[in-house]
Amino acid sequence: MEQFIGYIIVFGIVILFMAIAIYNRATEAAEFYVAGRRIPAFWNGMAVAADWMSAASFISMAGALYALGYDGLAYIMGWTGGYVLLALLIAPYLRKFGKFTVPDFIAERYESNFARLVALITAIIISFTYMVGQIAGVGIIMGRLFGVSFEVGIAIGMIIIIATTVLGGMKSITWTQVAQYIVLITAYLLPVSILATQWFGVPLPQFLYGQVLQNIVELETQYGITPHYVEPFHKFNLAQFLALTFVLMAGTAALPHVLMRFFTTPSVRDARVSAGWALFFIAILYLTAPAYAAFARFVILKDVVGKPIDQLPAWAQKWAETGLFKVIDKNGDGIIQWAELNIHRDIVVLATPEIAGLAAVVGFFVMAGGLAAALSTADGLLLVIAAAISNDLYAKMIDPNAPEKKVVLLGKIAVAVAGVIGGFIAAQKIAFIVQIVAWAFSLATASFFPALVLGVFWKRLNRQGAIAGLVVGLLVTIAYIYLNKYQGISFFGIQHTASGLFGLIANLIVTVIVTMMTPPPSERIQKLVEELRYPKKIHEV
Amino acid sequence: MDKEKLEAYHRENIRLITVLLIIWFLVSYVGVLLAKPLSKLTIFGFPAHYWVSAQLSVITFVVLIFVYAYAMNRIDQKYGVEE
Repeated sequence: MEQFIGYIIVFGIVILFMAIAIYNRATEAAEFYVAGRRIPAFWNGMAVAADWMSAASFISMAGALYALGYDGLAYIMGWTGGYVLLALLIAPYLRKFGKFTVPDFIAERYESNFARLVALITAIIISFTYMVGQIAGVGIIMGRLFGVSFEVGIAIGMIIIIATTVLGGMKSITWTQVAQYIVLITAYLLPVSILATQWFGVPLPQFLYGQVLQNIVELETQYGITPHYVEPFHKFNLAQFLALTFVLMAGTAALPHVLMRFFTTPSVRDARVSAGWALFFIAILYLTAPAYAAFARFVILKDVVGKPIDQLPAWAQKWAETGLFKVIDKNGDGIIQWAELNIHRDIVVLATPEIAGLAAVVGFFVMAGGLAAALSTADGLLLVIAAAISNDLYAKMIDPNAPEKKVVLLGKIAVAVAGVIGGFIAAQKIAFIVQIVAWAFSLATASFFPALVLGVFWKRLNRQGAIAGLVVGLLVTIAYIYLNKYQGISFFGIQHTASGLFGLIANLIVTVIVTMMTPPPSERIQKLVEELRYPKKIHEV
Repeated sequence: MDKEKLEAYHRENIRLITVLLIIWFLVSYVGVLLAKPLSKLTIFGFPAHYWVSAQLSVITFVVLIFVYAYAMNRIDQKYGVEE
C-alpha cells in the first residue's frame, strides 16, 4: 500500500510536467530555444531557479554539508555568489547582444567560425559532465522507489529525461520549470519544517538550526567524535575552501545552460532583474540546506548511533537494497558506532524523512522533489547540447539552408543520443554528484568565464588570444582533475573539484600574452563591444 | 548621442560594479579568512563563522543583485540609454 502511494506521488508529478510540456510545445526554432523572448522577469527567475537547482543542489548538497560540516559551505556560497558575477558582469551584455547561445556570442565577438567550433565543443563537454550528475540523481531515486539497484534506476531515469526534453523545447520548459520549482521547493522545505515544528514549535528551520548545531557538538563530544561538525578547515584546507568557492562562483556565471535563460527576457532591464529573482528563489533552498544537513546529522547521532544493530528500522533495509547504505559491526559489540555507519552522502536528503520517523508520504514527496530538480536541469542541459549540435554546428556551419523542421528534429536526436551515453557514464559511480557537477563548473571557469567577461570589458582582446586561452584553460583543468583524482598529486591542498582555478590562471596568462603579440580586432568588433554597454541601440553594427 | 556622455555612463557602471563586488568579496572570502577567530563568537544562537558563511553571505548576494538592477535602471534613464 505504502509503495503504491509512492508510485502515485512520484509519477503523478512526472506526468503533470509532461502534460504542461505537451500543452506548450514548440516547433519553431526561436520558440524552441528562447521562447520568443517573451518571458517576464519574475517567472523567468523562477524558471532559472528550477533549471539551476539540480540533483546537486537538491539531492547531494545537504549530504555534502552533512559529511563536511562547515567546509561544505563552500558549495553554498559558491553556487549563490556566482549570480552576483552573472548579474553584474555577463547577463545584461549578452542579452543586449541578442542571439540564441553562448557559442553565437563567441563566434561573433571573436570573428571566427573556428571560435564557434571550440565554444560549442566546450559547451557540450560542460553540459554533458553536468548532466551525468543529474542522471545519477534520478538513478538513486528510482532505485529506492522500485527497490532496484542504482544501475537499473539509472536506466529508468534516462528514459524519463529523454522523453520530457524531446516533447517540447524552451517554451514548454519555462512553464514546466515554474511548476517544477514549486514542487521542488515545497518538497525540500516540508521535512525540515515538520521537524522544526516538532522540536521548537515553529516551522522556520533556517533560523533555528543554530540550536541543533550546538546539540550536534554535545552529542559528538559524548561519543568522542572529532573534529566537530562546525569546526572550520578539517576536510578542506583554507586554500581548497577558497578555490572551490571561487570556481563554483565563476562557473555559475559562465554556465551555458543558465546564460541561455537570460536570452529569453524581453529587455536588458529584465535580464538584470531576472538574475535577482533567480537568486531569490535559489536562496530559499540554499538557506535551508545547512539546516537540512544539521537536522540529518542530529537525527542520526541521536536515533541511530549507540543503538543495537539488530534493531535497525525498516528504512535501513530499503536503502541497503540500492547498495548505498551499509552498517558493519566492526568491533562486534552489537552497537552501532558512528565509524561503523556507511551512508552514501547522496542519500542523506532522501533518507532523512524516514530516519526521523516522518510519515512515508513525506519521504515520497521529497523523492518527487529530487526528481523535479534533476529532470528540470537535465532538460536545460540537453537543450544546450541539442542547440550546439543542431543550431550552431549543423545550421550555421554545415548546411545554412536546412529547413527549420529538420534542424529541430536533429536537435531531438542529439538529445536522445546524449541522454543514453550520459546514463552509461553515470552508472560507473565515479564520484559524488556534487563532485561531478563541480567538474563542470571548473571547466566553465577555465574556459567561458574569461572569454565572456573579458570579451565584454576588454575591447583589445582578439580572436587569437581568446581561443588560445580557452583551449589551454580547458586542457589544464582536465589534466588537474586527472592528476589529483587518479594520481594523488595536488598543489596547496587544492582538490580536483577546484581544478578550474589552475585552468583559469593558465587561461588568463595565455590570453593576455597572445593578444598583445597579435593585432587588435577589427574596427567593427571594437564598435560591437562598445555597443554591448548600452541597453539602447546606439550604432548600427 | 555624444561620445562623452556615453563614456560617462560606462564609467558610472564600472564604479557601481566595483563597489558591489567589494561587498561581495567581504561577505564571502573575507568571512572565510576570519572563520577561526569568528568561531569563538555566537550570533542568533549560531557559531558566528557558520552564520556568516551560511546566511549573511547568501542574503547579501540577493540584495546586491537587486541593488544593481535598481541603480542601473536609474542610471540608464539619467543618460537616456534605456530601451
